[in-house]
Amino acid sequence: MNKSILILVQIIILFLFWYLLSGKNGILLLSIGAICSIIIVFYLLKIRMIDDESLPIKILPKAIYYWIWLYKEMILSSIYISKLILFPRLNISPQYFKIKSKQKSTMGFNIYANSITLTPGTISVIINNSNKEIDVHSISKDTKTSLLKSEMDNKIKKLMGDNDI
Amino acid sequence: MLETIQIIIAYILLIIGSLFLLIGAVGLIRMPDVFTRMHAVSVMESTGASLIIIGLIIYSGFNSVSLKLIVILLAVIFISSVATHALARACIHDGIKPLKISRGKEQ
Repeated sequence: MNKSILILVQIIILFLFWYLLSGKNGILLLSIGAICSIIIVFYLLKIRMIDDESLPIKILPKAIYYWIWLYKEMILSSIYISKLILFPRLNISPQYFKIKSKQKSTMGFNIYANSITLTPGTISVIINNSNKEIDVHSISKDTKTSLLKSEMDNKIKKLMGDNDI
Repeated sequence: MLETIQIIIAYILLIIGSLFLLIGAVGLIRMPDVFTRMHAVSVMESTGASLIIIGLIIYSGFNSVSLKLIVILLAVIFISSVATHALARACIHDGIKPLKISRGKEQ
């Protein structure tokens, strides 16, 4: 991705955030916001923080579909965990196991580990980036088997496409 | 008429979100060890908090308040996953072994 486009997008995002938080239309406030966002972007350039990894605008349109799917999964497993909690006999069987991911890129692996933690019932505990393995703690056998089906892994692989970030 | 439907949907989402928060709090007390308690809390932070914020977004309609609420929703979701992972990793690092139970009996 061209670097000047990234810089421009970063400035626009920071300025829109300023405008959202201030909520005023005065010319003084808007110019202060523009100057501040330009200064921040120059500082980010100085410490080399602007690249495809910090601003993934390539995968953002596809990521929205993934977020909607992930939210549906979160609601479904929340209902499952709520049933476990409210059942009179506590019917849990905690599992601790390793799972291997199919992701090639660092960012896809990161998204996968965070999605495992976000879904109630599974927590990614220790993450090994060199051989792409995650130690997962799950609350019962059902959440373990649904994770081992690796539906989430395939979705993230599709989301990342051939972007090698 | 439309405003009534909007407010009713917002109230339903707020009530469901509060129910999830209550269930999470009950689970926090009932669960036996650190990791299973974290599972109970993740119901609160992911589903309960996000349903309440979505209810507030529907209640306020489309204005600057709802955009700010969307920013808060994204922040809550991203921060809670990182914080849960950090807590779990710290527990393992500290030498706490995960409990092994099957069918309600300790092994």
